Amino acid sequence: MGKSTLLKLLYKEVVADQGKVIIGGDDVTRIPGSRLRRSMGIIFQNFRLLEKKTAFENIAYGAEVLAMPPVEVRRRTMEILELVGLHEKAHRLPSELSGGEQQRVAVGRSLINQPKLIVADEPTGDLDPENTDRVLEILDRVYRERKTTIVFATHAVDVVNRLSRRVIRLKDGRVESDTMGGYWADEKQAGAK
Amino acid sequence: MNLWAIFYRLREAREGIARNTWASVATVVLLTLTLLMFGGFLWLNANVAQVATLLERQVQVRVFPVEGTAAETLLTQLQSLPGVRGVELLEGELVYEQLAPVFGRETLMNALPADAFADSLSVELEDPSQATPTVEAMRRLSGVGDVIWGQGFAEVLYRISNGIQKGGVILVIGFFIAALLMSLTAMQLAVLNREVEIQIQRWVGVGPWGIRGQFLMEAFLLGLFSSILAGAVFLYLGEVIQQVIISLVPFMSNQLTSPMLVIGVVLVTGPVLALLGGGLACQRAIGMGDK
Repeated sequence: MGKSTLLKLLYKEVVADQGKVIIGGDDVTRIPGSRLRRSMGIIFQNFRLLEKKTAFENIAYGAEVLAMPPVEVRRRTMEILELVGLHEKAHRLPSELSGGEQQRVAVGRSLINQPKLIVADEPTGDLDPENTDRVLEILDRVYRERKTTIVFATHAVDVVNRLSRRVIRLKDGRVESDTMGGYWADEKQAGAK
Repeated sequence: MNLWAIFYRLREAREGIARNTWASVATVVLLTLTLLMFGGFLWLNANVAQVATLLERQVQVRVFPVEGTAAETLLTQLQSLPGVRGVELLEGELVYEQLAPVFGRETLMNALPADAFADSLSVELEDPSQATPTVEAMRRLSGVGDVIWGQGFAEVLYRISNGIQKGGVILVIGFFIAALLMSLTAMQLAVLNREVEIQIQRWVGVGPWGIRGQFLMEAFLLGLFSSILAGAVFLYLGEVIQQVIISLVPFMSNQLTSPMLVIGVVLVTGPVLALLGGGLACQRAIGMGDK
């Protein structure tokens, strides 16, 4: 089992055929997928934005489909655009944004429903160092200011070290180590999946 | 589903229809044609059945003597036949005067032959359901020329009505299937075009019915639009056809089935048909479960 599969188990894109997946004390195999995902935000490496919607609309979409009143959708979206530093580009389409900006829109979308948990699958995998820094800064702010748990899957050593939080290392589908801080720096990427 | 959900679904459905313009237009055209066929047969059938029922109630039999035989001479013979309750002599001139205000003198003169208002006899039967043998016995009497029997005409009309029903039903079923497939295809295109949207909706926690709602709303709008188009055609043509029929056959003025009934049926059928297509497309693409 790789790290992406592990994350899919968390948001029930994949259902475990044995064992348990427990989040916040609840066994997720017993909770309907839609209810579970309402308390989560999900971020992917390849952004997955709606090409015909602006940055504002992409972020708001996540709340609109859950039938949030427009006034509240607008308030939250503006606040998130501010947080991700895109308030001046709110009405641009994804094609008019850089890769880093598109990923910040995707991060914003994952925050719109004020999740308790964010699951990020290689969110900086397609970004240059500068944009990686910006995304990491935003996620760090979300963690500190909103007290949101973030499960961040990556194979990039420098990213792990910069975050310097709890690191769970997987090897051949098993937990190889579970430590605090960025000890992984010494081991480089060898053998990690 | 709250009001905002309906508002957002309507907005997304409108955008979806605009995005798949040609598939949407094709669906609306086919649905409208199907509804026109369906409504047309429904109306025609209702009217033919109405006329047949009206005629069936007219169980009086009219007996016309052969040329040279006085109607009065047949009176006793007819009265003695089993199944006959009473016989009345109808003077041609009197009948003409009675019918003229209903049909108009000009219509009667143009539509009927000169000897149409010869003297005749009106026979009332004891049991209208047993009319056939009595009518046959009348025809065998010497001096009897023509026997006009309302129920005979009603039977012909019923046969026509049945023919229309059978042919119409086959045709309407064919169109129904075509419209259903068209709506299914349009909805499948809509689902394919919005794969990323569906994924995002799943990730933020929208359930399968919530996701399906958007496409069902789109199908409903296409169906409703088709129904309104077909209904408008019926509203206009229905009035025109009714006026033509009444001008040709004035006594039908109170007997025609109103096109409003057909419009009502069509307005309900369109969205139902489109929703069925949309539902099938969603079931294939989105699935039923919330794993």
